[in-house]
Amino acid sequence: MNRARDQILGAIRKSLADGEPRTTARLEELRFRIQNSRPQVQPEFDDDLLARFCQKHVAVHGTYERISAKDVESAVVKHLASMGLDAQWHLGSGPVLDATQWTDQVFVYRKGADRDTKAALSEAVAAVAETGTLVMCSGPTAPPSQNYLPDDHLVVVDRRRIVRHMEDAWTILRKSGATRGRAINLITGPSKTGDIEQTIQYGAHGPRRLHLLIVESA
Amino acid sequence: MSVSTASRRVEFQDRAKLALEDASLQRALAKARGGFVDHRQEAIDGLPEFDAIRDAARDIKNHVLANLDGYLELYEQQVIENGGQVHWARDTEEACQIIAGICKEAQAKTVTKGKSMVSEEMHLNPALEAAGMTVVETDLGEYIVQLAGETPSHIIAPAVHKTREQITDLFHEHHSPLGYTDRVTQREALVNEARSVLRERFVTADVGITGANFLVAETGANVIVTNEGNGDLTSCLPRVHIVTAGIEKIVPSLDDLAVLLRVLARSATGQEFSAYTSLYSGPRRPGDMEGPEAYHVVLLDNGRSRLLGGQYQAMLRCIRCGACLNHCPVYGSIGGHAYGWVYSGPMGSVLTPLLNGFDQSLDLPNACTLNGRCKEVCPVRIPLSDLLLKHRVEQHERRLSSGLGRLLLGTWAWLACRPRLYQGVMALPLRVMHMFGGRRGGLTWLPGASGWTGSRDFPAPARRSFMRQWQSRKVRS
Repeated sequence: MNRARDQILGAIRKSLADGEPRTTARLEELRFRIQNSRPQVQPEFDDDLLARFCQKHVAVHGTYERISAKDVESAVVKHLASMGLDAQWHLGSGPVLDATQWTDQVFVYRKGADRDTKAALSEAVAAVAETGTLVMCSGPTAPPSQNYLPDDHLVVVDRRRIVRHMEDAWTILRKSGATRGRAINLITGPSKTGDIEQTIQYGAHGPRRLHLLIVESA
Repeated sequence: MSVSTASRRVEFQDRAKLALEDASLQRALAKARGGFVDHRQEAIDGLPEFDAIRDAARDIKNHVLANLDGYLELYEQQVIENGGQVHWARDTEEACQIIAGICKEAQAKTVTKGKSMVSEEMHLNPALEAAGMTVVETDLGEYIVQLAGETPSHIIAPAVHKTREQITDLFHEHHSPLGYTDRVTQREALVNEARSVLRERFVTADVGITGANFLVAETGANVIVTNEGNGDLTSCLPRVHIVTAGIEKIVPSLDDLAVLLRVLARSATGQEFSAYTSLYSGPRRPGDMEGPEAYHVVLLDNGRSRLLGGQYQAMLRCIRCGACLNHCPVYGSIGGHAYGWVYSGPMGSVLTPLLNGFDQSLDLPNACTLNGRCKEVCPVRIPLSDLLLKHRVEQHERRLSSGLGRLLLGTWAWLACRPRLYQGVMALPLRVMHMFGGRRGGLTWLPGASGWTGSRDFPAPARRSFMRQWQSRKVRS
């Protein structure tokens, strides 16, 4: 196995013009470039990030409502009821969700979703206005299966976490150490496929519907 | 060799002919044709910075290729730091052995797969099946193709060649034994049935295998881009996650990744961003309640390292978006299977001879009108049509092109270097051709050129050559 590694790296070095083996200094140069990497060309758009984010989210078949932090439970219950679902869901975590006191009117399962999960409620670490993308990070109380197995995926987003570009989300993740977790899931709309006659059909393998609760800070 | 060369030549032409005569393939291709092109155009019209971003994407890829060994080492360090393992495979056989080995060690019975062209390149499925495992493709298109016992005909839309009627038949045949006895024909019902069948597979699989659109050296993550979410279920649910990727898939940082993501989805499907773009690194972390216990990356060379530093290096920038296929009139007429290997369209015509050997698939670089649309739409600015020309030159130089063709070209070159003789020799045929076709502007038949005139007219020349006309005008003035 190591022989294969050495041979492949050797073949690369032989093919590249300078052909010299990479010294530690050379690796440091590349590492330096990574550590000092900066945003490059970015799309420009106007300053109302919330409006832009909502517009992009709706364009990819997402729905949303704006609520205050104290209304998370009632908003979720109401939304699920409108889908004909009971007040029970798999629960992820995040600053807003962790601060929410759940009443005994609802059942929350603090575990990964399974094959029959109807609904899950997660919290986005950031939301990107550029593309209407939610940034979800895995952790001990935030299992990624909740993003993909339920029929209905509800996501809480703190309004202050809406950032302009993808790179702004990276900045948040790097600072919080979330890039060291196993999964970073960027979600833009519900699951879909175009594999039958190149016509979009929603609910391929993942959630059929994606509903956002944009939480206004107190 | 000349015999086998000839037989391969016939193979491509036969496949192309069959494809042109295949009514349901033509129906499926016609249905797909405009969609991808129009959607891409709309997406690009909405992004004035697109060309600047393409330049940046090209530069990132060039920078990585020029430092590929270093970035591979940095990437490997990160994967190991995250608790994963990196395996290196010189060729496809070695890659299959490594993957089958990991699966056996995990005592895997069922393996789910996310869409991965590099695993198609490896012919991984037969290798795993030979090792006694059940392999299930989970991308809907790949799943359809797997049920049909075929290979993908498009790198991002594997079942683009299948009509709804054919999919209905396939599902009915394969799902009836599982209890889905109703024959469903509507798109929504078909998707739901596949969802239900595959959901069972996802939650019971022992090993999940995905490809990688990118490998990020900064974090050691593999990036997968899907719309269905199948790649994520494949990455998250099984005990073991294996990633297959070509060595050229590295990007240095997350900021570089952002640049490439801005061009990928737009070029592929015309979306601004695909529904699911995910970064996975290593196995589950301490404290995580789910996720694979083991994470392996299998890096495949298979001839790629040879292309570095050479005249085809630009091909390694390819991000497999499929835009060149969607814009190619040849692909649009014959579909992907006629190309004979996993990669089709312009990128396939360039890559297949490079990875499989120049004497293989000699027809591919010639099955091109040199209209240049592929080069125009490429998100990383690979000069595809120029590379196809280079292939032709190389075929000629290596004497792999047809003997008759080389003789004719040689004769013409010899003549063309002797202007007086050339004009003398050409005067008569020009006149005759003009006589027969001048009035209608084209010839419907030309001795020895039925390959051309069989399907279109040969433009008739003017009565007198350009040189003659030039001379007489000069005299007059």
